[in-house]
Amino acid sequence: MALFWTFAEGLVLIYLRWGVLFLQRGGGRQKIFLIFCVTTFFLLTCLMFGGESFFGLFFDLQTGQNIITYRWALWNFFCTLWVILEGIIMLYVVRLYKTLRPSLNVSASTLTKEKSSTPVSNSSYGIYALVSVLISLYVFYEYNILSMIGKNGLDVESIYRISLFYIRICGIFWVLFEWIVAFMGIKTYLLLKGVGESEVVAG
Amino acid sequence: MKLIETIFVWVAANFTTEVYMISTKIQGILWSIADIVLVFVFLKIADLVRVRTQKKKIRWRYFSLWFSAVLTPVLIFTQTPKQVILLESVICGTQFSILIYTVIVERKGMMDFITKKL
Repeated sequence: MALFWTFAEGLVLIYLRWGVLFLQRGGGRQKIFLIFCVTTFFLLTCLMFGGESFFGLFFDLQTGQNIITYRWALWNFFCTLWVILEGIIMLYVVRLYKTLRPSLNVSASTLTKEKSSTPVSNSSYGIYALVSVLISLYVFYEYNILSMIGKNGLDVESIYRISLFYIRICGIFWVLFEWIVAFMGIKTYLLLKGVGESEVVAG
Repeated sequence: MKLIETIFVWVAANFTTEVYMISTKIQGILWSIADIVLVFVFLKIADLVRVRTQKKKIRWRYFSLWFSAVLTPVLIFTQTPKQVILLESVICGTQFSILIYTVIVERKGMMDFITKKL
């Protein structure tokens, strides 16, 4: 299931990126991006099915607590990845709207008024910032779990609850990003619909 | 670090399965409503393009979307985390399938429509 969601979100991102670059530049470096996506997905598949055996060579993943900690860390990693993918999709949707809006002859006054209401202003920097923040959050969270296991001797139930709580934190981001995409979707639809209607009136 | 430890200890003591279930249901419903709005708007954009190209209006995808909308409140009645995950997978799986299918099938028409306007 983890790989299915990653695949689905990745596919949406690839098409969306293609669309945005096409509108902005008449095309883009999609080939390199596609190779990157396929390679990443292949590595994620290896991690999902072979990670336990691989990391078992370096760490003791035989005992109950260690294996549970590892599996939760892996699941939380995928949760972080989905937040990252959804966040990048959101940034591209914002970019798409920002590309369409001035091109579709929206008046200058509306532009100025709407500028402040756009949630993210620069998606290129936004992507780096988003990825950095979320990866840091994941590493910080997992590091603290491991450090507490060492110091305080967390039991399996506590590891389970703290790891579940991380999914809830990711959930806040999922809901937030989805609503921003939905909101931008409505704005884009109204923009396109408005252009269509003005054409009918003019015609 | 002390603060993080205190938070983690509090989470370990208080974030029970019951709390997890309640928060998951709330989150699942909010997430699903956002997805419904987003997929609905996307289908409306696709319909806008289809009208201009004199293609038939979308029907089955709207029907599937309403099916996922009807299932969303059922999340409240789920009893176990496994049931929540299964139901969420059906709801979000349907919505994502519609989205991906529409992106693949309608992308050319949509791009033609938009580039003509730009």
